[in-house]
Amino acid sequence: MRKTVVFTGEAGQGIDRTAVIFGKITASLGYSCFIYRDYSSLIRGGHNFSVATFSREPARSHDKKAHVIIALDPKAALAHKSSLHKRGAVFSAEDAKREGGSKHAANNILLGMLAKHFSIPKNAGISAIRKEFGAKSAEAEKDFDFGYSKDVPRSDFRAEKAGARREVSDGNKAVMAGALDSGVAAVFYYPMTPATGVFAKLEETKKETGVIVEQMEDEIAAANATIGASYAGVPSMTGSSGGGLALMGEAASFSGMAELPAVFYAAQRMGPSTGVPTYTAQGDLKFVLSMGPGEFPRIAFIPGDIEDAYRATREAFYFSAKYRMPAFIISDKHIAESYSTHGALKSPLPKIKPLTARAGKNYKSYSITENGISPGIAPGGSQIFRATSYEHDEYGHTTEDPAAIKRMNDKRLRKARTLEKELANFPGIFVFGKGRKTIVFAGSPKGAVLDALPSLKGWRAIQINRLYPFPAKELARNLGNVPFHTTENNATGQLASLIREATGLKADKSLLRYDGRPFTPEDIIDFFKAR
Amino acid sequence: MNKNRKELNTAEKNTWCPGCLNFVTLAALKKTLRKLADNGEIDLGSTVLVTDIGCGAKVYDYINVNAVYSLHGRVLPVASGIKAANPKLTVIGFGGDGGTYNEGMNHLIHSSRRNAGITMIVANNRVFALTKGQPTATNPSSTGKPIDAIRLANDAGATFSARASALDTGNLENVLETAITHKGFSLVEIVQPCLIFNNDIQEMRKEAEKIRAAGIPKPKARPVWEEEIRSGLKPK
Repeated sequence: MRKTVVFTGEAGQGIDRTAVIFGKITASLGYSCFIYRDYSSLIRGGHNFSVATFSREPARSHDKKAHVIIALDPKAALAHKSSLHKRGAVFSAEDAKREGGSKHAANNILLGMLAKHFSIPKNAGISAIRKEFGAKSAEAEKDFDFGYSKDVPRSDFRAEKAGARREVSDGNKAVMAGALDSGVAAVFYYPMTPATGVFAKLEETKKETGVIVEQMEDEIAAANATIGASYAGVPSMTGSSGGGLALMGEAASFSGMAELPAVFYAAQRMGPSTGVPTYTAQGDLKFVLSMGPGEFPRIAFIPGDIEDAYRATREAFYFSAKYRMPAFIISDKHIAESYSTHGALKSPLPKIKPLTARAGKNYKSYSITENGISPGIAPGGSQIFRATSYEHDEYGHTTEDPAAIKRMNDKRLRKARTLEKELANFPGIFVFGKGRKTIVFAGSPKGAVLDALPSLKGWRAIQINRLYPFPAKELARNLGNVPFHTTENNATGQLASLIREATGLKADKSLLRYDGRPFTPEDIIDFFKAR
Repeated sequence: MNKNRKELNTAEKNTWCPGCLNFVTLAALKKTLRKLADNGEIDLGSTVLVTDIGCGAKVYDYINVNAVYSLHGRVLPVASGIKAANPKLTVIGFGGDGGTYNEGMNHLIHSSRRNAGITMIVANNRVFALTKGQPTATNPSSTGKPIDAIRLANDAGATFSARASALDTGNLENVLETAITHKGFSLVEIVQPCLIFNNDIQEMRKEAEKIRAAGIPKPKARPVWEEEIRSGLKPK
């Protein structure tokens, strides 16, 4: 049984934080929870909301229909009335006043009322509040306690202890953890929603982590400084969204040509152009795969949830460093900013060590090798280290000789084939459930698709984990001659197009959503049930 | 390390036009590097040259030090990333007026503001020579008011910003030496003709005299970026 609570009000009222605290309370009791944030591009006022769905069974997405509305702005409740279940409850800030309460008294009083509504043990709420507010929690605890002591309508769902405590994170945190565990040493960025979250978290923690995190004058500077740091021998990262990422195209190509590793965090938002800044989409799949002029190999992972985001980040750093090419983590607003319970964040890959200046005599930056990889060094030793955007010979000296051009091009492209071979040991796709008919997706529709699957008899789902190198053989082998559909957060079916290009297989139909909103399980069920 | 590297020349074929003033700049830069290395002020093995693209950028192939041939207008962010990651390196940027003042002006202003310990050398011939002579932002014949980048960088916070002339080698070498040994951001603009597309050599001789007469400005002291961004961070 899934239960859903909508938290709504004006920007600046702490809606998101209150929803996350509620999620953490349910997670501490062993429930699975997912929190979707819906907010406009403004700082104060407006109408924002967060949707928290929790369940004993995995909750990897939020539901359309709510059982409770928590209205920090009483007017805001009206907008959600139509999505409230029959017999659903509405708790409004008007019912949550306490003499001498804290600044956000209503938020915590409402949390207390909500906990009472679901029969959540009081101490679970108090300890989550204590964790959240630390030394300043006394008043907030009193507020929660006050709310909990109120006589509120009770749900038939009694949320008592259901299992071991679970962790709650957003995708941003998973990417940050992945970058830190990979050994990132330098991060350069320029703020843009929704990519900013990762960089803001890295800024907040830099004193303890020792990572250089700098905001540059623009995305072009951020990407080129990242490549500069990479030349100096350290794992480095940049990233942006939509238009900001577009400004990094030339640098991506530079990374590919100069063979200086760089990790690009590509967090999609609704486009084109400025688009809808705080809303989600998967409209940049083909763009990220072709970002930058010329032909050069790259790596592109497309995580679907928190654990995927961590693993994709580890893999992006590892393969970028090993193969000396740009790597992209294709995320989106829905993964970046939604919170959910998750399992252990883990990867078998080692941490990357900064390069040293040690090299044998007659070192060549672009040595022609069978596997295409030319080992890098750091500058500062007895050997000269050259890196260049111009076509070059093995020493990195400029060339325009036709044979030399072809030879170096072949060498770079050989890296892609070597990479494909190594990646055969890493899953390119994940198969969920059993059925004759298949839903194929990549990235953030994962939660809604997997939560819908138990209601779709005869259907299974395949997640594509990587867009470059595309897991063509693996996918074709699994699909066989079974008809398949794609589920994508874009208007033109880019994933279906990529599948067809890589495998020759054509999707029967695509379920496309391109209104800036992520899929809910209801969307998936409604579309596929009748097919 | 590599203090005793004998040869700063490379075997690469030089493709500048015969008589190009870039030869003078290249010789002055090599002579200055050699002198600073011999005096123990820099280590050639830890010196990195970051170039733009175009005629001037070919120094990438002509000096035997670590080097990055970067993108048009992007010398400064690349150089900044290198210095941020390893402050021990001596980082010297080399570009033209087109790359530094047209394509990449944003980076010049912000690099001046940041005051990273890097030297930016700009060979200013007032034209995009390799694309056949279009005017740059410093060209009086271009649309709009020509840019005085030395003043601009100075106003933006560069701690050393000086003009030199390729027609006055002695002064050029002194300016380069001051810039490379300065702890902080340095901009060196080398005024030179383009023999093919902007050959007003008489005018430039007069300018060289004026530059020499004005003397070399005194570098200023201000916290450097590569140290500021590390301050308070746990050592990695």
